[in-house]
Amino acid sequence: MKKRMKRILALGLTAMLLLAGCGPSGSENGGGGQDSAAGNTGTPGSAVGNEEGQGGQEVMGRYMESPIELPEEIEGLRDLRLAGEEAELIAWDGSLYRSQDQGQSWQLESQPPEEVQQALNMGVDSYYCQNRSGSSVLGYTQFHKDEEGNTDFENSSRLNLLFLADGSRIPLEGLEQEYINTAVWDENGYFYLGSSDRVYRVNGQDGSMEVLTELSTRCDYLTVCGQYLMIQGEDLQIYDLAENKMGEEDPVLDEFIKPWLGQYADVGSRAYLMYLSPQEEKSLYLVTDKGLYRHTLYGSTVEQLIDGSLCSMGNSMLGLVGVLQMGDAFWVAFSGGHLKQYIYDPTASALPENLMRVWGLYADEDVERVVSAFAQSHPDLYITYEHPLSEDTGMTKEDALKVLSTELATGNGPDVLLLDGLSYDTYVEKGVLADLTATLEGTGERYVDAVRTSYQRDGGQYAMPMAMSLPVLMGARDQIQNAASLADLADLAEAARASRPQGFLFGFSGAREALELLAIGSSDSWMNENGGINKEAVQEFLTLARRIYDAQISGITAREAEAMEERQMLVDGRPAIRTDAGYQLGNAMFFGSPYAMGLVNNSLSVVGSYSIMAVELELLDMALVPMPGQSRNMGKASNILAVNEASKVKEQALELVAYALSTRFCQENYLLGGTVNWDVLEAQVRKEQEEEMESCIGFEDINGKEYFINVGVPSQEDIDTLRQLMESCQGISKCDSRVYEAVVEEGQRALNGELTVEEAVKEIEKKVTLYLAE
Amino acid sequence: MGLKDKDRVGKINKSTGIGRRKRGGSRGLWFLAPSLLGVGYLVLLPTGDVLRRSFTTALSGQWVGMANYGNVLTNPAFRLAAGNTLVFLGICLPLLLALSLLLALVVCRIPRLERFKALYLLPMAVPAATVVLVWRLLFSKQGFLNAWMGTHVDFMGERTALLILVGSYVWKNLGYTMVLWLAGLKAIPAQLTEAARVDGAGRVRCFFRITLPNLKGSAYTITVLSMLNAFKSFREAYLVSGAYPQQDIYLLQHLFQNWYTKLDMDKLAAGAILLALALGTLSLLLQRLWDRAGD
Amino acid sequence: MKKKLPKYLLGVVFIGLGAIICLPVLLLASGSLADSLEWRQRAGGYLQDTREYIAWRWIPVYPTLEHYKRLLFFSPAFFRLFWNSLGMTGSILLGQLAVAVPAAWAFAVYRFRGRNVLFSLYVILMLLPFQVTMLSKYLVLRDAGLINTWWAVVLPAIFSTFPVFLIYRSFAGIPAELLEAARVDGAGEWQSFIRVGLPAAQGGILAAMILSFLESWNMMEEPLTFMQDKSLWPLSLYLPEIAMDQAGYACGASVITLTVSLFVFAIFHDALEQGIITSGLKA
Repeated sequence: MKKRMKRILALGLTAMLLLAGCGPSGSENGGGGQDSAAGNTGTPGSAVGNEEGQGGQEVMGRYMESPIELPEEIEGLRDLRLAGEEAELIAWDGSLYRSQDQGQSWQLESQPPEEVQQALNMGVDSYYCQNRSGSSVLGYTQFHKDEEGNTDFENSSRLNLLFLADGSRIPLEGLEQEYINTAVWDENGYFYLGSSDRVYRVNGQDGSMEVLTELSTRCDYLTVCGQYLMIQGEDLQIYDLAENKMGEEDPVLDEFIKPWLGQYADVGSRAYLMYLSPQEEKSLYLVTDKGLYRHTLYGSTVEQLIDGSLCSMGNSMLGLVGVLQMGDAFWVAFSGGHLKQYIYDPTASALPENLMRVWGLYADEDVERVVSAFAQSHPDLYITYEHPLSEDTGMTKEDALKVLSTELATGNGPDVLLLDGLSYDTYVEKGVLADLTATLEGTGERYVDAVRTSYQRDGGQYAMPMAMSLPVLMGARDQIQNAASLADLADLAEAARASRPQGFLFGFSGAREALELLAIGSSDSWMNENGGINKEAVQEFLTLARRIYDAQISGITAREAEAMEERQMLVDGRPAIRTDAGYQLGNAMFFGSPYAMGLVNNSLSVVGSYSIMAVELELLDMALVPMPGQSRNMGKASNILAVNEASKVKEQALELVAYALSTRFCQENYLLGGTVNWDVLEAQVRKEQEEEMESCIGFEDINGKEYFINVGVPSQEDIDTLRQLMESCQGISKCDSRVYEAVVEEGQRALNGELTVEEAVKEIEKKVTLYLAE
Repeated sequence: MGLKDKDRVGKINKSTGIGRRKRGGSRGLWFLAPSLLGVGYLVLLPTGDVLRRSFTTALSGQWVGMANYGNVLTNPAFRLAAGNTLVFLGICLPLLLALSLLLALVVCRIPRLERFKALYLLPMAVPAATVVLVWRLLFSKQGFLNAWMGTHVDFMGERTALLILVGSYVWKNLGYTMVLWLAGLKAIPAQLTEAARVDGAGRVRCFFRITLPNLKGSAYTITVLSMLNAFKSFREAYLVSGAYPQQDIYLLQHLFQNWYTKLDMDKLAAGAILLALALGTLSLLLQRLWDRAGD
Repeated sequence: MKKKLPKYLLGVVFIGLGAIICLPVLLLASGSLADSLEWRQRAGGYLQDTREYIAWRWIPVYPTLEHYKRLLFFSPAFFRLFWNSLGMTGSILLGQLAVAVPAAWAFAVYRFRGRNVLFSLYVILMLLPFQVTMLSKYLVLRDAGLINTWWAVVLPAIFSTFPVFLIYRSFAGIPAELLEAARVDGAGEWQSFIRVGLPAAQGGILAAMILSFLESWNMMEEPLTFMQDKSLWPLSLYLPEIAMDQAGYACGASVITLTVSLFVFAIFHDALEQGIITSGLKA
């Protein structure tokens, strides 16, 4: 009996081994299966691995990018295509340009009808495309005029039109109920229109239409690739135009393109492009932000030809518009009117010699732009931006920090570090960071002094944030101008509640949001001199925060609570916390509350928050003062840049930091954060005044009443207010991020009533004492 | 060979220990060589590096003498962790050893129970992450224990965390330790106990005079193994509570790990050497007391 | 009768305790058969941190093998890791056999200068927790170019002093007479080892190997620190990454990981018994 059992067991084990051996072989190219856990191989930039492997020969040959000059008047591109040997492009207003000399010069060939130009320039089009023979289809929203001749935004209708080359205008019937969002043309004179339910085929000569196919998932884009129509939406469907029916699926292509399906792109551009080569049969070129790839349609491989991270394709600011193959070179059109050419240079090394690693816990758009822009001007440098916590790998902050510590201790640390969420002092003490003083002085630009001094230690400065924001309190001027301490704010809130038994007092909704709004102005006083936690200060903070919070929620009606829920954006099923002043002010406007608190990030632009805020404040007759708190006039820094002292590309790393903080960079890029550079602020102001752009922002309040405000150039008064605010800033809060987190987390529970303030302080102490004692 | 007189009564013949001592040393080294080389390179060398680091600053490598040791010994976190580790060991080891010995004795008495040993061995095979999964189901605020008691206490966040850690440790190691004791017990020739019985000794006296002394060698191995496994409890604690668990289960490994993350390599090294010294003393002590086969 | 009663009680208590000890494993097995929907319902309180308790049923409402199917057929990652674990553990065991067994023999049978010191050193090295030498080991391995490969984990494990300690006792238990006899028969050192040492201690060696297997199968710190490439990771690192919102799946993965260990146990169970007995756990 025993022996038989044993034999069965042994067989069982062998069976398991075999099963393990011939289990589904994981796909190599990152497409892999259902698991996000442990499914991904390391990124190519993880230098710790990189340094080991690459012994031996260098691979040579790389596509080098160069810009193609376009006529000045071209502001944007809609389409790029080949006409034989010549290149044609459609500009933003529908004009057709041709180049007969490989892009060296361009001639304006034709302009579309007036109606088309108007629609395109006003931005009310939903789709437009022009084919070879000059016919085009256009769909746009036409606003009616009311009795006085003003545009009535309430009344509009959608028009779908076909324009022939001779100028005749044919309305397309039967599309009234449809919302078509994309259109393409093919070589046989047809147009294809895609909506969420079906694809139409339009005859380019007479406008007759038929339904090509019904769709099960919505269509975002269409692309014609030879005899195939690519219907791109949440998934990819291939329609065979020659056979006039749905084609086979291409599983390899599906797998490859999956990460980009359904991705949002700006108006006029796409997240990815497909292009069937005119030269090679069935060679499909794919352009994504990871680069240019070639795939044989219905074949089994996808190979990368151009690495997106080494060129503009990886620049998240640039959307993809079109691609063509000109001889051996590739042309790619980007949003913003940029056209780039990619020519293969067999003598260039496949990867730039020098590797620079930029590291931060989370991904940040502004940093991505810095990296992208810097990479372009330094083709000899291969820059990677790593952000371990923003990927879906289940890595905890502790793990990420451990890996960072290992890298730093073994001399393989990143070259540029973003210290958000890390303890600045720890790294300074250990001598990890390089002194930025010389670099910053060398740029000759003026930085906000308070910010600079906050990061000075022992006479050197080892980090500098790219952006800063300042906490403010907004409300009636006479009421808030004397509020200096948190206690004042609590009194204010309670007084307001007494005179206004119902309704929102501030723009925040949850306990956590309240704490985050109040914390910046007080967090600096939570730590005491010798690195421990100041219990009394924390206790005071939570007590007062509790009063403010209670004042707010004690009068919120059910209707208001519902309305607030609807307004909130959800992230992972939980309401997102928005501490920016613009959003909070918006809430205040919606609910009609007398006060608002938030972080101002001093970015000036027509759609930048401060410009809008200035207008809104005027509308509400509110003023703005630095947020009252235990440590008033402290600001918050983000994207805190530092350079690794032991970096092998230290010079370039310092250059990158200088670049990120420079006027040049900020001018070329729309910064999300507020600047720390006075020169940039001046430049922004000037730009605003020069461009005189205006926009109209619409919103409604809780009663459904709609408002439209025109936002223009901020007035001198507004700019002065902003400047004063920035000048009043005395520094960046030095509170340790771990302490900060603990206070906000436990404080949340105190505000919710789960704990008393004393209990919360005890919990905070428990969480933090060990950390500080180590 | 010469057995002394007092060795004859109550102990097993020690002739097993003597003969080999005569073998010359150098030939033995060939057998030891591969291990020695590997251990030297992969274990001793790193430890030597740690020793060096305990006298220098963290990243810049400047010599600071005993400063790190001073820092470490006066560091409140270190004291807490060291204290906790001692307490943890102090509770776990005797508890496990006694309990498993008891069970082994029961099996000895009732041989039929041997086939049920497997039940106790099962927990050994459970990986740490799975243990944590079970903990979560049992001890979280919404766990079964709370459901049973009608409360909402996060047991891992209170002082009970230590109990849970100890309980988990015993649960895991009970089986194997019992089996080891059992083997040790079986190796005692029955004649000894029988002879004593015939001489009129009661069961309890038998146990203390005959059984226990003969288990010394087992005790040594078992204690060392159990200490090893006690340190491994860190894994579960870390998986459940992260780097900063409830105060009572904040062990030396937590501290070392956190120092590592904060780049305090110097303190880490000093603390490590102190730990090594403590362990060394302890194992030498054990060896002196119980390991006769090793002399 | 009276004498039997206490024995009977004792027996019942013993078996009862054993059953209780097995409960958590049964918990897992049962949990692995409940589908995700049921888990979400049951564990809703835990996932959203409300006051609702995790509901329990021994037998799931709709028992399903969906987790196992997913693990066995739809998780290429799981398989890769499974194979990794198997490969690494196998290599480690083989290596340990080759290195630790002769070393233990040397310690047990020969007397040479520094033997005691060296052995004590081995014991101390064995007890040191991983965090102590983490960085230094990393540097040594990096200089050898082994980081991010299997060898970074396998090589140090092969030279672990743990098996030496365990096997030492088996060799130490060999009666001197046997060795003498062998020598009289003209056996050289190597032959004594092979002919006398190995057979006598085979049980103990097996016991040590099983412990080593468990150690390697469940190791966590080393692969985490020395291999950044997740496709090289062993199974033991997969489990912690499965969050509680996939509790059923986690149970299934645990059961499978467990089962392998149990298999090994079961197969070598008898030999294990023998081994422990002959492993010289005598005074």
